[in-house]
Order: sequence, then structure tokens, then C-alpha cells
Amino acid sequence: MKIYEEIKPKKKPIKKIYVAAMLWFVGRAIQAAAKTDKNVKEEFKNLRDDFAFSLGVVPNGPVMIVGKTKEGKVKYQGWSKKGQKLTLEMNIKNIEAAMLVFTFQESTSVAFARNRFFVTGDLPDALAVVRILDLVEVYLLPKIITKLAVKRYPKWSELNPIKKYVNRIIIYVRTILGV
Amino acid sequence: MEKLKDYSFLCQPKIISGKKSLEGIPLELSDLNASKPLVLAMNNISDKHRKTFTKAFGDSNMSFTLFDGIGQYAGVTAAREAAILFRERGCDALIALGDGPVMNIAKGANILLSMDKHLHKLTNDVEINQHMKPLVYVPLGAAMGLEATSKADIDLNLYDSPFLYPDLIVIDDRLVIDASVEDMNYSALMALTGSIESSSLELSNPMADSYAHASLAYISENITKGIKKKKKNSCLALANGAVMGSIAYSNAPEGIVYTTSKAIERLLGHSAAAVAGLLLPHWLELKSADKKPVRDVLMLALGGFDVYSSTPKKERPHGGVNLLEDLIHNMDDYVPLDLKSLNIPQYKLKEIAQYATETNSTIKKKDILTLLERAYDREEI
Repeated sequence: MKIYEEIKPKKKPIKKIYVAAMLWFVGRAIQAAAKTDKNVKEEFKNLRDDFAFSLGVVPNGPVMIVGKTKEGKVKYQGWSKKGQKLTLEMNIKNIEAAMLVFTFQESTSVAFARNRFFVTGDLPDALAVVRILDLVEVYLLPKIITKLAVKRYPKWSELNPIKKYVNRIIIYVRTILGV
Repeated sequence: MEKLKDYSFLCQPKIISGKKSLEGIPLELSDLNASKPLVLAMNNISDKHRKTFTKAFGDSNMSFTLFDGIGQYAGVTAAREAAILFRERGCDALIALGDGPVMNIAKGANILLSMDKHLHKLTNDVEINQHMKPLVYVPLGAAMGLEATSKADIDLNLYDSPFLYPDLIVIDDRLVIDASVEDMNYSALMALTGSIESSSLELSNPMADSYAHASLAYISENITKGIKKKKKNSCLALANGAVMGSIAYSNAPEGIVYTTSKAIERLLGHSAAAVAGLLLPHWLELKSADKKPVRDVLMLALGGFDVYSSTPKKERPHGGVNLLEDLIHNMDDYVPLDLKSLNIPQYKLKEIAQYATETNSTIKKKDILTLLERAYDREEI
């Protein structure tokens, strides 16, 4: 009788490292944008005082956690869920779906529509986070890439170029320095 | 709009289709409380398919056993072998990586595992009355009509139970694009048959209609691009069309074309899909001649809104049949000209009709004979 093999698929360490790096950078950029951009600030203001969310990949991570402090400031809180009281968990269903999102082949909203995420928590909060991610991507990435990553690129009247470039520099500096 | 009649409709499976959909299987299995699947595949499964499938499980903490010992015939022995392996390895779900016999054997193994603890009894009098092990169907673009249904064909016995539906259907563009032209044609022909027969019934229901019409539209729009240009999206659309056609067919009684084609396949070994492609237009023409009008929505599904709206109402039913004939004409290499060209002797027609009525008593022998005689010799029409 033929012996049928049991297959243990390999891990995907390089993809995990890439997604972890992107999540780390985006997490710190959200913290920076909440201090710099009034729209991001406004979005966070409308969320509950103890708001904290995680964005990660199941089943093995990576994860990023961003939340509001007691003083109402927005802070990147690392990648460990231990001891964190999360009000919203956004999970990407697998590492390949995360790669589609973080290599900008699919925008966050399209990935949501294609059921690549699952959310534990309030859906309006999740949608606020998607809007925040879109704004942060507008600041972090050049227009040609951002157009692939966001649902709709803001018009001049919504975000004038001078303000965009100034904010971009501030957000990059704050993200790198973590302030 | 037609008057709404009472109806029932069941579509059990969750369907995931598109880019990187294979990677969704591990999480879906965990949702079904399964963590160690047995994967069934043909013995000639390509290395590319094997690698793509294995990679999709990467980083999922899930391992699987690959049972790649399935041939072209779906027999009880293979189903039992799969069931024994399932038990030995402590598996808790089945994945059919392939169509036709692979899916039939997966369903057979599932019946054995769920209904008979000794793994012996697999006869068509077995009562399937409970939920079974989670079953996932991953098409490779060679569907033969029963895969996404509540039916299974094992050792020439037909099993039918709502519990036989797969729980999950995953259609991935990386897998369906490699299907052969012959398989694509046959798969499209079976879907056309299932869809047209299910939506042509007087008792057809709006849910089955919606699946059937979507299936017809996908097939008519994509058959040329999928087969000649091998475009990923078109191949994906064809595989989706085949699944939708199966679901529509699953919610309707077996029709005359399907039954007769299957009878010819079993008795004489000709492909049921090819024979169905030959019989389908003849059946529709007989239906029109018999003053049982073909529904004009056939034209809408096959031709689209522009063709439908620019055709006078009276001409739409016949126009739909013409469109179907044109569609099948594009698959001429795979559809016989007539039954005579298959070297079927005329005296065999009665035997075929008799066998068909034995497998499906709802259809009259006289109707089957009329259909077979009409399709026998093209020159005599």
C-alpha cells in the first residue's frame, strides 16, 4: 500500500518581517499624525476615551496596538496584546492577505469588502480606523502609490499640497523619533 | 414579472473566490472546529498545484495528509481507503483538491466516516441524516456537474442528501487557469445543462433562477476568452459559473438531458458533457415545437440586456435557443455532430431510454426516445 505523506507547510518569515516592519511604522505614524493632522485628531476625538485597537495577522501575528492614554493622547503601544484592554481588534485573515494590503496591491477598504479582515468590536470604530489609515497613508506615501492604497485620494480643496508636504515632513520626523 | 410560487431552496456552502483565496482555508477550517484535514487529489496532480496548495497553508500552524491515490473512476474502494487513512492519521476534515472523481470520493469517504463506524457500508440505501465531517471543495476547472451539489456518484450509485453539500468552496485563479481546454469545455457544457434544465421547469424557483442565470451569463461571456486566451479572470468566471450551475441543478429535479447523457455515459462510455451539449438544443427545440415555450430569460442570460431589449418579445424564446446553439457551436470540437457520429447503433436508443427511465422515473420513456431519435442523425432533421 502506498504511504501517504503528512505535509507540514513551511513558515513565511520574510513576509512576516516585512508586515511587522510596516505595522511598526504605521503604528508610530498614526501616533504622529494624531498630533499633526486635524482630521486624524478629530477622528480620535470622536472615539471613546478608553479606545485601543489592534491591527494584526492571524494566527501568528505580527500585531500593532494603538490606543488613547488617560490624558487623551494617541499612543502606539507596541505589538504585545498581553495586559492590553482592547476595544477593537482588526485581524487580517492570513499573511498573504496582509501582503496584498501592505504592498498596496489592494486598498484597505477593498480588502475589507473582499472579506480579508475580521473585526471584534464596533463596526463604526473599525471604519473610523480605516479612515485614519487612509489619511496616514496619504502622508506617508507618494501620490502614485497612495492612489492604489486608499479608496479616494483627497482633492486640493480637502488637503492643499503645501500643508500636505509640511505635515508629511513633521509626521516622518515624529514617526522616526517616536515623539 | 412572473407570479411568485411557493418554493424551497438550499445552498449550504460558503464560497470564497479570487486572488489568494486558498490561503483562507485554514481559518475557515478552524471556524468549523477542524485543524487537521485529509486532502484528496488525483494520482496525476501536477507539481504546480501541489506546491501552490501546500504554500497556501504556510504559517497557518496546520498540517495535512495528502491522499493522492485517486484515479479516473470514483469507486467504493478508494472512498474506503481514504476513510481508513482519515482515521489512522486522526484527521478531522476533508478537502477535495480536484473535481469529478476526487469530490465524489471525498463525499463517499465522508458518508463512511459519519454513518458507519466500521467503514464498510456504502450502498445507496444508506440513510444520510446528520451533519458530517467538514468538507471543502477546491475546483481545478474540470467540474462534472455534481461537485457543488447535494449529490454524489460513487460506483454508479447516486447518493442524494442535503448533508452532502460541501461546507466550503474555494475557487482560486492560480489553480483553475491550468485546466485543459477539453476539461473547460466539458465543465461549461455540464453547467449549461444544469442551469438551463433547472430554470426551464414550470416549477423553477427565483433563487435557483438567479444562480442559473448568473451561471449562463458567466459561461457565455467568458468561454472564448477562458479557452482561447487563458485569461485568469475568465477561467475564474468559468469555474464560478460551473459552481453556480451545480447549485441551481441541485435545487431542481434531474432533467431529461442530464439523465439521458448520464445514461449514455454509463452504458457506452461517451462523455456525458459532450452528449449533453448535443442534446440540449434539440430538447429546447422540441419543447418549443410542443407549445411549451422556452422562457425568454434564456436570451437575457446568454445575450445580455442589449440583445434582449432590442429583440421583439415574441422572438426572444427562439432567439435564446439560437444563442445557445451559437455558444455550443463554438465548442464544436468537443460536441458530436449527432449520435450517429458517435457510432451508436440505432437499436441502442431504446436500451438507453429504458436505462434512463430506470434511473429517473419522473421522465417518460417516450420523451427520451423522441429526443434521442431527433439527435440521432443530423441529416434527417
